[in-house]
Amino acid sequence: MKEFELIEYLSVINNILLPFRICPSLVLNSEVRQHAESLAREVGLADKLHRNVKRLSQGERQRVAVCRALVTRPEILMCDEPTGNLDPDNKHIILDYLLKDVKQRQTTLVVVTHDHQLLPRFQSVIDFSSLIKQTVPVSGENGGRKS
Amino acid sequence: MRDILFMVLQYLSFHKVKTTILVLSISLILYLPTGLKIVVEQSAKSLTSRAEATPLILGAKGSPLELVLNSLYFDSEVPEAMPYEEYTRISRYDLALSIPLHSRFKAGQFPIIGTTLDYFDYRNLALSEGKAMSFLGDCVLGEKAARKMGVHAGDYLMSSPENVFNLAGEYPLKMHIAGVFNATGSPDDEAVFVDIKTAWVIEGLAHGHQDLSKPEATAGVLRQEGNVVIGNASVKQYNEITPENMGSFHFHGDPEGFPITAIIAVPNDERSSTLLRGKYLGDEENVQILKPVEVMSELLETIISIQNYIVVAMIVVGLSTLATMVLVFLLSLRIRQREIQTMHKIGGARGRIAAILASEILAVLIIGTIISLVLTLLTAQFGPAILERLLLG
Repeated sequence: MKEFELIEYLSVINNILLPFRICPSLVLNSEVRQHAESLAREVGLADKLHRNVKRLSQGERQRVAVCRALVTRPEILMCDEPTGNLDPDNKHIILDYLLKDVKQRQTTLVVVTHDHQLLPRFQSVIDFSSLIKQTVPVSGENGGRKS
Repeated sequence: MRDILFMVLQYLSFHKVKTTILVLSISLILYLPTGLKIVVEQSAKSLTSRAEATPLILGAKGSPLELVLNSLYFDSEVPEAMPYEEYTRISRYDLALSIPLHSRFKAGQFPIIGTTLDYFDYRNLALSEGKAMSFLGDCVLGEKAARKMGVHAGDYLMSSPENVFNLAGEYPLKMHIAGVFNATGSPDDEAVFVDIKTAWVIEGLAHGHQDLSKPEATAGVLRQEGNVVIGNASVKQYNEITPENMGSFHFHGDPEGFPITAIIAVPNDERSSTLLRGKYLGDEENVQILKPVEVMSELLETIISIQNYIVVAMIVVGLSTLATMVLVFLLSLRIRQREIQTMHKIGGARGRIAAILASEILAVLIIGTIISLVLTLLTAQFGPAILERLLLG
């Protein structure tokens, strides 16, 4: 089971706003709060804003982690299996939202995934397995490299 | 700062049990030594003030502490009784104002104190209702005793038998409440004052019954020997003294030999005090004369020396508890390493994270200190009364 590095003693909304509480350069104001609430709403957590994260399902926790990543409006967003624990519907909701967000803000999204169904939705895909095949030496009869 | 406080509040309120235990530990570590010191000091002051207001106590030889505690606070065990003739003797010396005390019986939970009207003047007891006792069987109540029993002047009050199985001993006496005193904040507030003779009636040394010479009492006559009429068991004895039957009450024996538990002696001056004490120094004396303040000082010295041992023990326990708490905080930090790393990863400033963690500890210390201060203030307000009650039974 994946962990999402959420803070167990904070509610959903406070986990999303956590970066603003611990980073002195970020200012927590009403606009930020509204943004955080709209993020939660977009991923289907509107009715769970004040619920403790311990009382959420795995999928819901993952969505909280995604919102927390987006709340500071990062220029590059790097996601490791962002849809890994989600059901098909929520998987598309999250991916749609991530792609919409980067498109709107003209930022970069880098995703690591094992889900090949998602690949057509990205501009550029790097297959790690093909990279490994190209770079790892293979011991053969002639002792040569596989390229 | 607001964000730090927010995070601290969230953490502490989420871990309620852990926080409560830590806060209570801090409170108790800080409160117990100071609370104990305040209680002992204030109680010492309160106990000493009544002892200082009572220059000398005369009583049968035995435990000085028991005699002083019983005579001043109407509590503790009943001391050995001495004959009333000791009162006659000390009065004859004319060196002091002497006030006899008989403190043995109770009405409910309140002590019945047999004495004379001089006691009221000496203790500056003023009536809030009714009047002082003027007849045999009258009593005057302290403010607290009247309030707790819900009685007023004009009502009646029964004395309690010492032992329900003592059929041959004292019988309950129905006393008329003549008056109630104002509150004084002293043990007098909880006492039921009666005339010394009324105390002897309760003790069974005096009684009243039907006049056997009257025609209506013929059934109670066993036999007549000359002028002496001997009654049988059916003779009606009175358990209440009324104007009608008061004349039938009489003492059996010489009142000089009747018991009293103490005599308060207020010497005319320092010289009289010295002379008076000198008169009771002989080995053949069956009575002792004491300065209550000296007896109470000895008691308080003992209490204070015990208190010092307790404080040292508390400090040692407190230090070991503090060490355990430091360990709890360190272990907590270790358990929270992942949380701390997460905060770092999502952009948390090292200083801000450290401030949040430090503030959590600080908050526990501050709340614990505030609670201990509140407890100390409450102790200063109510502690002496509680300790006095515990000390004196």
